[in-house]
Amino acid sequence: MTAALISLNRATKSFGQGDARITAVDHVDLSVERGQIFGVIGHSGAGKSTLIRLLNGLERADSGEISVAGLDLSHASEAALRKARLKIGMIFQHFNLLWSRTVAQNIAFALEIAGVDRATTKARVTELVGLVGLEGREDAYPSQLSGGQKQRVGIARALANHPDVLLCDEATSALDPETTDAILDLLSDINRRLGLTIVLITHEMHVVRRICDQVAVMEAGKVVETGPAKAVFAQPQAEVTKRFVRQITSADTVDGAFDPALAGGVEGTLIKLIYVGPLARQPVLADAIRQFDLPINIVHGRVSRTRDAAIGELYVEVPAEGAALDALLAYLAERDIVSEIVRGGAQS
Amino acid sequence: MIELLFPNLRIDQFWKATVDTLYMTGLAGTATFVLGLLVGTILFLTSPGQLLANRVVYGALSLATNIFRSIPFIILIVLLIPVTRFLVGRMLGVNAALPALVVGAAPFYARLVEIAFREVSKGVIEATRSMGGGIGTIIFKVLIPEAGPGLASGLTVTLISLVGYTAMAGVIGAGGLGHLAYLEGFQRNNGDVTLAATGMVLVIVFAIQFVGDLATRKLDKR
Ligand SMILES: Nc1ncnc2c1ncn2[C@@H]1O[C@H](COP(=O)(O)OP(=O)(O)OP(=O)(O)O)[C@@H](O)[C@H]1O
Ligand SMILES: [Mg+2]
Repeated sequence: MTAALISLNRATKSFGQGDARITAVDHVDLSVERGQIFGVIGHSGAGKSTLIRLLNGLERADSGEISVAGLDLSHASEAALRKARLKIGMIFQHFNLLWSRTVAQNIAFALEIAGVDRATTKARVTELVGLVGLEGREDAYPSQLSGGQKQRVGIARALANHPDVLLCDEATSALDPETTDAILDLLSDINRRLGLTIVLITHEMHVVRRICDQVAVMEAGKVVETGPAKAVFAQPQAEVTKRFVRQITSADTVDGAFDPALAGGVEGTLIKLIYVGPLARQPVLADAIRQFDLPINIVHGRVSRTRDAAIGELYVEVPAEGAALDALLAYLAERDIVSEIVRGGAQS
Repeated sequence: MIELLFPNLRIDQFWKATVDTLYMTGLAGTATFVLGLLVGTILFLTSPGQLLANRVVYGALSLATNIFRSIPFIILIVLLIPVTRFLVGRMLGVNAALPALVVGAAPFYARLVEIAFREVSKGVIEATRSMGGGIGTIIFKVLIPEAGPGLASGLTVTLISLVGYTAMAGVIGAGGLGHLAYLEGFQRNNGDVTLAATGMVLVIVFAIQFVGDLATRKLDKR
């Protein structure tokens, strides 16, 4: 018998009646070891929220076994569940703070529920405020905080009663990329320092890649793939996983955009061309080469996809300046190509 | 000065009527607040999709509040005469108005309470449950404080209606400014008395509105 902190055995949960019945979690088997950061990734409606809510009994399974920190949640009474929840912290996409309470009072709320006395509460709140880096903001109301700060309050509140597990339901989905990374770093720091087990669900590959040890991929209520995060990404088996992996690899090339300052050995003028839609249908560059008798050298190119169009960016190097350059740019402009001189090439 | 403007006004009578109106509004208001909060909480919790969702209880309570809210107050007083006799013992004086005032105002406030609770984010209730909070925690530490501004502004509106109700109750003998305006003013053809009573009612209503707005703003940390 392994020391799995969380284990699910054929856990199933469905909603609705008759034809409208949806099996949100379909015979899921999972096990999470103590101290792990376990990620569950899947698209919207895959059943991730339902799955994580099964782990603190906010949702009761229709069938199957669920055990968390030694308690059999599938057969626990409501009272036993309430007690167990003190040791299962949870944070949310929309933070879910009480706006009528200050930061300190919001954190203290979890301790009030646990029946902790005033003096202990006060000390613990101070400690937690420090842990999540909110010193000085104790008396602020949630409406006065940024999203990242609100989530820090959420984390402090979830950790108040020294839980065994922290459940995160899309905890960074409402945050911008930088704040997302700051919160993820905080979570992984807490995981390391306190040895806290974290289960997080997300639809963002970035989140899993950044902090998860283990990952499970969900689709239509089923876990289609699970294993160490690195292994799953190195050799994705299921089609959804492959798509998620492609999401980050393509995101990488977009993120790691061409930095013209680093492009060594460029002679002549470096021009950035921006065009919408496929350039290939019109051999503009080839025609330009012929017409102006200029060797146009492609240095870097990429296509980024927006919702309804593809936007191309091309960095080209042309040994031209002055009037010849002007003529070329005018030629391109006529063909709806926006150009921008990145380096060199004085225009006349 | 006062004698000149209001020659027929007897100051002692006027003060007594003012105190009676305040007494009726205050007492009926307190009872309305408690009863309305209770009924409103049950309405909210038993409504579809909520923690204690229960079609039968919600349906019955909802119907009852709608009925009492729809009966014109003057008819409600008449309908409640037997109940009042049983509770208060006689059909005259300020206390006699109380049952009708509460029955008239509490269902109205209950609805406002239900609406105010509906504004509380479901996520916060969920978070409370995730922390191990039970129904008591949810009612007293989440719903009521989070709905504070709504409860306060709802109470303001209800109290102002209550002032109006006390005036109506005054006509059938409950005392207060309505009674003064009708009996001493209208029936004896003393326009100045009616005017003075109206002025005082306005002062009371404006004061309630002012305090209510202040409390609502103070409670609102959003
Ligand atoms: N209380 C409920 N009543 C009825 N259907 C529900 C309920 N909760 C979830 N569902 C359904 O179960 C399915 C899974 O929902 P769930 O919220 O678990 O998905 P998710 O993976 O968390 O999606 P998202 O990324 O959009 O949050 C959905 O089809 C949803 O409509
Ligand atoms: Mg979800």
